[in-house]
Amino acid sequence: MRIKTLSVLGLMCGLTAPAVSLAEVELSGYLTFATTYASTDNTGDITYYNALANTDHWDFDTRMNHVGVQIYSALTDKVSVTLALTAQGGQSGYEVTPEWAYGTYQFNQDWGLRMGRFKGPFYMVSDYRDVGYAYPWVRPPEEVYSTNPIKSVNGLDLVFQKTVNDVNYLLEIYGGSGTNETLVNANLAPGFCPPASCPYAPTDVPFEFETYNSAGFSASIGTEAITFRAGYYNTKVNAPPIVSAESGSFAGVGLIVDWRNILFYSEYVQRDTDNTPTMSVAFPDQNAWYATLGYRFSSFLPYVTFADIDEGNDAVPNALRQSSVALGLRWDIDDAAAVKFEAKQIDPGESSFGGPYAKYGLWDGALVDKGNVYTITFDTIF
Amino acid sequence: MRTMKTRIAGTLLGSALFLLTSIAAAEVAIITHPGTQEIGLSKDKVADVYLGKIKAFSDGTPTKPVDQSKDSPLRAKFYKAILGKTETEMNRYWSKRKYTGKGKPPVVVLSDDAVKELVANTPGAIGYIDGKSLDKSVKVILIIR
Repeated sequence: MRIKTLSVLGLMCGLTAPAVSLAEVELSGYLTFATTYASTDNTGDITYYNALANTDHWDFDTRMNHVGVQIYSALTDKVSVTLALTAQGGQSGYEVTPEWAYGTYQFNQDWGLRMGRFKGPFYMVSDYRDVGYAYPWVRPPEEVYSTNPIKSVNGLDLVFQKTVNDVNYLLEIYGGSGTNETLVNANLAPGFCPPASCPYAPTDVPFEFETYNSAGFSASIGTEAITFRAGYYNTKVNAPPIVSAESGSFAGVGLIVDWRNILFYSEYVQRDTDNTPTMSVAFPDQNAWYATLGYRFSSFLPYVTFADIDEGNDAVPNALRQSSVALGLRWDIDDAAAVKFEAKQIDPGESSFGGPYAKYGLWDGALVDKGNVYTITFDTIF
Repeated sequence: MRTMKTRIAGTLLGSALFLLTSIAAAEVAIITHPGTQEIGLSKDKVADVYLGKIKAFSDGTPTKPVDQSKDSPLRAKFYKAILGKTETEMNRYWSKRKYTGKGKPPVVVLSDDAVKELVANTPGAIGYIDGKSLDKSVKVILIIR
């Protein structure tokens, strides 16, 4: 009996020893699983926002589904390495990509330099847009978050972060280049997809998107209850076959209030691109905003979001126009998991130019009337 | 058989209640490395260390907060008393930071002894343990009753 106890102890020691040495590497992760459904008065099938939701069925296989694993290791007090792999769902099946992979050199407590591939802090929640658990919505309002097709930057990111007298200051200055894949609606941007080379319906066209000479900043100041943010990003773009060496910029301001049980998020962004024949078709100027108001009742957070995307500084026929109202409910079912429901009514705006571009919004076809998108998500962190 | 079951259930309930009251009555001691010279380490300052807002003491020593496991009642009591936050609220806080390189939650160790060992041997470390586990290897900052 005693021998048995001893051998069990020995086994336990053997099992725990490697765990101690593994403490140098920290694993964490996030997961979102979603289902979506769209309904419209159109007679034929129509999809919303590059097949994010379909009209004929509850779709459990959209690109909202993803799981990410982050591996972090501190090599010394000043040097650390972070890698995150994300498997993202969608029409072409789960694809694993390194969402970010960077080394950090921490000069001192306040200043650090990230080198490698990192999430671009283009908008208020864009650097954690994949971590559904971190925000109230089923997804960041696409009116604003669709305006920049780039998610990651390969380059350098200088980060200053400090808290003085309960006020938090954050400044990031970054630059670099990169290749990104994005989707475009070929009905609105003809030329990206000659019918013979389209892998899917011509409305959902993935294409390579090259950015270079990119630079930007993101600055925020806030207390525990209120945070204000401003940012700007400028880049040169190549998007074969039609966009070559043109440029675009993204500017935004945002506000988060998280005070007692009240939650308020709002952002206004401007996409400003070269006013050339190709850019004004593929990536026209756009202005967009949203405002979300929520109230926490213990583990329930009902919210309402108003959002809008409209033509920008240079008004062109191809600009997207829609406004929406969404009613949502976040339910924290556990310390680290939430289920969210959202019903969103979308009103595609009438183009002042009329013609074939009217009433599209972020849909892949023209709507005869308003459309609804329903989303249910399960979000967790681990 | 029925009485037997009832009796077992009764005993289990009794010991569970006993366990709960003894946990509820436990004191949580907030401790630091014996070399920590920081003056005025108040509740608010400890909270800021655990939120990653105070990254170094005034003499320049980097702060190293240490957590107990998520199942530990000491952890829930510490976060409620010092930060006024639940586990869910802390998860929400870190989820916006730890995947974006904007912060790192405290390291987690699994027992009072492990916390003491780490804190005693790491300048700048802060941890919390059951008051009964206190000894001279560490310095006490605050006691939560």
